[in-house]
Amino acid sequence: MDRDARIEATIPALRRFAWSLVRDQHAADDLVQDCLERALGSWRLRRAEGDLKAWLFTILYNTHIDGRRREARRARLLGDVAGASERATGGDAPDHAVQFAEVLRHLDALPEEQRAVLLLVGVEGLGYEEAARVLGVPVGTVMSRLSRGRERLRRLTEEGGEAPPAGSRLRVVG
Amino acid sequence: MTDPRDHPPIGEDDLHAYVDERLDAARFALVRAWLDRHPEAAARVRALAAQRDALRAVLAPRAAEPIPARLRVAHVRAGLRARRLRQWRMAAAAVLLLLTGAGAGWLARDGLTAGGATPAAAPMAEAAEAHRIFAAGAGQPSQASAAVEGDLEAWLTARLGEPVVVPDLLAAGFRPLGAHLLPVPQGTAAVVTYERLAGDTRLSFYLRPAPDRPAEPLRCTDHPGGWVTYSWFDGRRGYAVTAALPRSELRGIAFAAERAVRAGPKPPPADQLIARAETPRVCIG
Repeated sequence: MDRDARIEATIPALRRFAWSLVRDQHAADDLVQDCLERALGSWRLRRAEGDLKAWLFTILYNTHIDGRRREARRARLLGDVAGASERATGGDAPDHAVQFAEVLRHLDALPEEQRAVLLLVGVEGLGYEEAARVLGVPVGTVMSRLSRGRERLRRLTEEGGEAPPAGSRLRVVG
Repeated sequence: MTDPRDHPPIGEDDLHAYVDERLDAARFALVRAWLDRHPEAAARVRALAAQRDALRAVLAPRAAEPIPARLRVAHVRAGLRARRLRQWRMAAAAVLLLLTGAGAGWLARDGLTAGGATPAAAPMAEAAEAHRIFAAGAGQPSQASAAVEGDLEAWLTARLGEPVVVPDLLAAGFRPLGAHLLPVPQGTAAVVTYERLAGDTRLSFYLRPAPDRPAEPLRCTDHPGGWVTYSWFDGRRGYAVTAALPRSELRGIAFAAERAVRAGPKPPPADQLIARAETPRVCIG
């Protein structure tokens, strides 16, 4: 496969990872576009051949972190407290959609660094060393974030399943 | 009780590697045997695997969607190449201007400011410059305002001699203030400034001829000073929406503007259209 084809083969996964991070398709595609521009612009900085996927994920994640810092700076500059972007909610959606929304809501409850590890390892299938390189942390840190993130998500899921908020209970009328 | 064999004891990392299927065969067998003897840990490992599967299932559709045109590698590369060429031209022009001496100082200043506004010489970099001059100073009277009964579209269409769409951004809370014409190397550009109904945030909608540039979908550029530009090309013109707003907010506005431009101007009655197309316009004054 030539270079472009190998990059394009990674784009669906990059879009999925970007969407998981920012939760908005246009914003995610902005992020992927920035990532691809940086990757093509600094192709010679790439390390070994087999690293392409991890390398692209590294650029995407750094671009994301960088963008968030910039947005924070801009928000401070303008004294503008921009509302958090809307999150998907269950509403009248079918059962599986509600479940999906719940999984995402639980994922949102994790600190971003744990969330990124869960996504890279669990969803994108990166190895622990690769994930460590993407995030710029030692493998031990990846393992502890993975462990803490998964444990927290598990507890959230169990609590979410057993204890619905009191207000949502049906009341018998008449 | 504890495993007496010569293996390192089972750790938390083993359990995760078991979930992620990253153990070698020997260690995998060992962990599985250990889990058989520790039903509580086994239940936890099953829950973690189920959690991973749920995440994959939720996110799978995101990777299954077709890749949008703007993310094609060829497209991204073409954009980069054009940008480098412009950078190179800008550098060459700056050198030339410096060589022509102090008499061309004001030209050099303009040229260097335009180049300096965006270190990466982004597409439609001049949009940020136009925004700086005409739109960024909130409270200043909008000079050369053409807001005659709000009919900026007709004014611009007459001045540019071609149909122009002034996007209706009221839904986003912006109303047009005025329009200006600007000389640019490609011909005449126009900038329409908008003001936020609540507050003094200004926004500018910029367009200029770009007949040689193929259509390109929206892309974003950050400028120093907190301005963000979304720009696109439709094969005839280049367009840009610029404001000091977070990307997330400006993006929606830019997409709305792009849709409005694509939809074209509201069609006038058919007889009027024919009359306008066939009757030469008389220039008065």
